[in-house]
Amino acid sequence: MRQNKAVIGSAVGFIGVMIIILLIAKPSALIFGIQRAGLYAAIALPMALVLGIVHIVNLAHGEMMMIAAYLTYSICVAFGLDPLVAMVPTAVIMFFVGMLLFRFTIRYALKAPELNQLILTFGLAMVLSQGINLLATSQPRKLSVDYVTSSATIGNVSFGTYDFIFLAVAVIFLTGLMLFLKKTRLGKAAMAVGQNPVGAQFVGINVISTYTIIFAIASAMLGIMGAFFITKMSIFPTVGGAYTMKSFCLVAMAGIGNLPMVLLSSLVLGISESAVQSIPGGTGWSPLVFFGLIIAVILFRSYAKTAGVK
Amino acid sequence: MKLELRNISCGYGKLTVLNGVSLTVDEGSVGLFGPNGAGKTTLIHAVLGMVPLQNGEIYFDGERIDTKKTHTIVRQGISVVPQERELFPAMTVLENLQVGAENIDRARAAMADTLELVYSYFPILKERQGQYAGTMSGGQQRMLAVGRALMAKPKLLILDEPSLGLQPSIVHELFDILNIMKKEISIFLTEQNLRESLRTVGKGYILENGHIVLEGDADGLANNPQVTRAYLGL
Repeated sequence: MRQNKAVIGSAVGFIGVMIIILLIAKPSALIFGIQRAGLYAAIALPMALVLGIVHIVNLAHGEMMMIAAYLTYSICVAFGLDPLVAMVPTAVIMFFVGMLLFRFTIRYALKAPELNQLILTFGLAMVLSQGINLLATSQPRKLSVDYVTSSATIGNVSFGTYDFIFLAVAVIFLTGLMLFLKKTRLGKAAMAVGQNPVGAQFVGINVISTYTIIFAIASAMLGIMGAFFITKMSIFPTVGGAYTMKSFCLVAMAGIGNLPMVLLSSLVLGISESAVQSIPGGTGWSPLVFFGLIIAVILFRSYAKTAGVK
Repeated sequence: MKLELRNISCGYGKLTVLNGVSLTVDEGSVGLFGPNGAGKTTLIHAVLGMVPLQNGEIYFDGERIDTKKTHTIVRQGISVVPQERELFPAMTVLENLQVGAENIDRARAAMADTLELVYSYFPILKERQGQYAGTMSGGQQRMLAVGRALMAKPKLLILDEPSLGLQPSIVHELFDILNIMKKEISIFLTEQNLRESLRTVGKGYILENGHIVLEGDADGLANNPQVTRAYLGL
């Protein structure tokens, strides 16, 4: 607990310092950083939910969002709908896709060694991205929606306003999940299952169906994110992989089961990434900063644990 | 309330731990005694559907339960206080107790009353209701585990070696409370501490190497020379 406070404290401090520096030096980088952080957090939160409760590292996470984006795309093209309307059927379909994936694959690996679980979800990721490659070819696709180009100008800084929607989605996801886990019976049962699946059976909780529902909820959230994703970005079969990687890093940085920290660590990474990119010639360095920071945080954690630093 | 094990055999993989065990728990309280490795915990796991049977049947209130899942068996009215306690460490004492009742319809309706009852048995739990379960001492965790099991409003409460790892004064206190509880619900407990538990149980079985070697009422067992020599050190 106390160690957590130290981590939260340093994250908040770091964000504060970065904000001040960027506000003075490069306000546009700060805005891009916050927008990017929203995107990262919104994609990482479902993974944090699954990892915290089902204890499965889903390496097909980004690919599931990619599937959702293609689903939104097809619905939009077929019925002429707006992606934000197509989001509703996409989320519902993804809920059931998640349910089936869990019921017919992941469930059988729950008690297997972790390596087998990783191989399984890695395999799923390949099947999903190659399946889309066969069905839709590797040609990038994009929907053009006019409202995404809206922009605003403050002083002499102008920026796109639509991108803040990712931050809004992340905040809504986080609040929704916290309320669900703290206030609803199913959510509290899920917390119990996450902390001790054996103990959960002893209080009459059906552990497997709890896992299934949580995985399905996370998939529906990816469905929602897939729809938002395609409003702004172009999609292709391998677009998801990078997000699996980044989500996993964010969740590892936040600490397993700690949902609010996912948002904080996204802010740390998003802002520092965009700060590096704002330096001329810095674009290529941003992944280095992203992963370097994560390594630093994880090393600090293990050091703090072994040295007993509070 | 009647729990009936008919000639059950079970184990892990090719290893057979219980070999043709028959045992009945009806109203009142029953003890199962035996040394480490006799199969006491395995027997409890079998009742809870956590170890598949190789042979035999288990009935609870006339209904066969050995093919059911653990959570269903719990919902039917069997609660357990496991040796390892199996609490939810990052939940508070109160949340642990609430989650004990919330997932069982019959218990949820009576939650407020049961909570009062549990607090009257274990005042320390009320004092510490906002504390995280994982930060409590072993004895307090055991009490919380008993409290959580009671929250499910069970017909039968199973305790797996409740005295294990506790200091004698706390063991004594715990058995005092079990003596009050047994007036309300049936208790089935496994123990190595016969001295304390023979105060509580009406009937006992002795399990050795997967076989029931002796059964009888508490007085009979307490006076049996075989038992006094092996378990009471007299």
